[in-house]
Amino acid sequence: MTAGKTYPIVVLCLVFGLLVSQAWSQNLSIFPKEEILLVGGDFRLRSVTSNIAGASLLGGGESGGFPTQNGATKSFFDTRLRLYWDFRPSDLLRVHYRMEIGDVRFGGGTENGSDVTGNLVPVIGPGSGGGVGADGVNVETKNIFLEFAMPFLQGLSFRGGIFGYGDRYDFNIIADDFAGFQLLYKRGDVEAHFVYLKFFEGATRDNADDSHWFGIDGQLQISEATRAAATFYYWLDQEHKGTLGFTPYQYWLASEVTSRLTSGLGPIQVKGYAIYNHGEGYFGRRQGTNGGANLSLSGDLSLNFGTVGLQVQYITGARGSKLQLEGGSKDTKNIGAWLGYFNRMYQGPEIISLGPIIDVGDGFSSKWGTGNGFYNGDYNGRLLFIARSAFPVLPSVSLHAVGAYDRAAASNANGDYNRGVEFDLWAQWNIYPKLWFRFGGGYYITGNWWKNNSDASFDGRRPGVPHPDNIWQFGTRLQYDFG
Amino acid sequence: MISAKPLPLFVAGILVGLGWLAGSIALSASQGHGSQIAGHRYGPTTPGGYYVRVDPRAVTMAHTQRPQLTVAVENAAGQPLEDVLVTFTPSEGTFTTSSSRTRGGTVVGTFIAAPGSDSPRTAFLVAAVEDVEVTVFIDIVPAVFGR
Repeated sequence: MTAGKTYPIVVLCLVFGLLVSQAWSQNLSIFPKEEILLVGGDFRLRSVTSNIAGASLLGGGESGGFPTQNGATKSFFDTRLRLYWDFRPSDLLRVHYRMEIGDVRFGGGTENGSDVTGNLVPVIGPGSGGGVGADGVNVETKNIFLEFAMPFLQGLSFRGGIFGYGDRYDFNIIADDFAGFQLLYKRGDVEAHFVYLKFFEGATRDNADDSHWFGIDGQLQISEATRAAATFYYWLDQEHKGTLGFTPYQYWLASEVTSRLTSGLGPIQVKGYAIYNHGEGYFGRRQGTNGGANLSLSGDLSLNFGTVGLQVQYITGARGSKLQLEGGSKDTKNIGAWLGYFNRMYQGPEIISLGPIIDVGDGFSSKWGTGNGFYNGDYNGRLLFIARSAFPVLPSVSLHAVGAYDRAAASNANGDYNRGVEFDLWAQWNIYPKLWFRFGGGYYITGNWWKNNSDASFDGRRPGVPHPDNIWQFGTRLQYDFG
Repeated sequence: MISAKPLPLFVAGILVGLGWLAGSIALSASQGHGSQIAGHRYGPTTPGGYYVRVDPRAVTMAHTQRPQLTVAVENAAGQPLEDVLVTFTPSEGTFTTSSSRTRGGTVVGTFIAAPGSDSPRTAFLVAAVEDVEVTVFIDIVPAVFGR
């Protein structure tokens, strides 16, 4: 036997011993049988009335709204049921399955299609089945994953499959459901995880079409009322390599501090974060590098009669339009703008961010994963002020008011900065425990930034309109959470 | 230079035994905490001179979940203390306990988020023993991120 074989055998023996000892020490009663099944979910009925231009009108998907000129009003109802099953034979292990039926639009019968042989095939998808007769084939799998506590190190667990994953920075970088793996560690004052996500996988025998996301995140409770966190994400995007001659990449280095402060009026929850982003070959559209920062500071004060909060966010940007700045895929200039991949920011405004009233604001933040989004597709950055409040006016009713001022950090091709001002007002009535009804709306007064701005279109290349409408959105949402 | 000899059976046995031992130590260490909970110890409180631990110190949850939190109160030597009052103040929703005073050195309670508020946000729960207040940050995220 050579030395090269000795070491592996020694290691194998040790590992074998470890495994056997762990297995021997496991009490078989921990895993009696899969008899603990948790079931839950939510049911939602929703109405949306809005003049926000759906990107579908211009050839894209429904995601992504922006002001247009003399835009038509759209109005519809839809419904959705989400169910989950959690198999938990012990505290050490679980198998999770989450499904969704919907969103099914009322009356939304979708035309059937045909396959290559001409045979009629029913439309399969989330929106089918809303027409007369229903019977849509519309069941989706949202999550399937296995999670278990790892032996050897208390607090370490493994998760693998399809699961929801979002960053801690108001979902500015990434938030959605993904297929991947996670190693999670949680013990005492420390919480950390490593995550690997796969975005694209074409031919399994060809790695040139892969797109990998790696992340490591940790947080530490540094005092009775303060915690600090840091995150590093790295995205290696071979999928969009195209003709660039190199593999596009982006990374994000971020830190956050959250603290609970006391004041004469009441406790204040303060949250501040800073994200630095750098990359090259963004979405394969250009050769140059990009780099920028995203800074945010917020404070929410809890009063006897409600909560009031303020947030200011600054995202660095570069002057000009996307057309000018990208200048074709071979442009090697650096762009001083902060970029994200999935921007799903919430934080109050219904139209500027993903709204709380009807859940999907259909607004500026909902363009994601395409590189054509609002501020993941234009490079002007932004300066955003948000004032938000919540008042429990009755034991079962709360009233929420939000105001926001939205401004570009750098001017567009026309020299304009001002994007607009938004006002929101909505109420929530908790009818029964877990059954609630929410209604209200948002109104956005468009500023000059939108005028004749090609960035204010789905593909960022079509000319903008000279007189964009003020945009508005009203909605209702009846939801029952169970489980 | 290491000679290329076969690994003797008894050496392999010793290695397996060492692995077994290491695994057993790891397992016993991970199970041997009893009512003791991990993490930083805050205090001493005034006037009682107690020390406080809270576990978990951070929670990530969907708004429909009901996570449990434990507060342990002990003396300077780490011995659990009985019948010490622990109060909880959540920034939203409710926190329910079977007893507001320590039993076996701990108080265990369940946090329930405000009904219907499924927007992502951070809530906090303040656990207080005399003059020491410990904040637990609770990140509430959508049960499913995708739409």
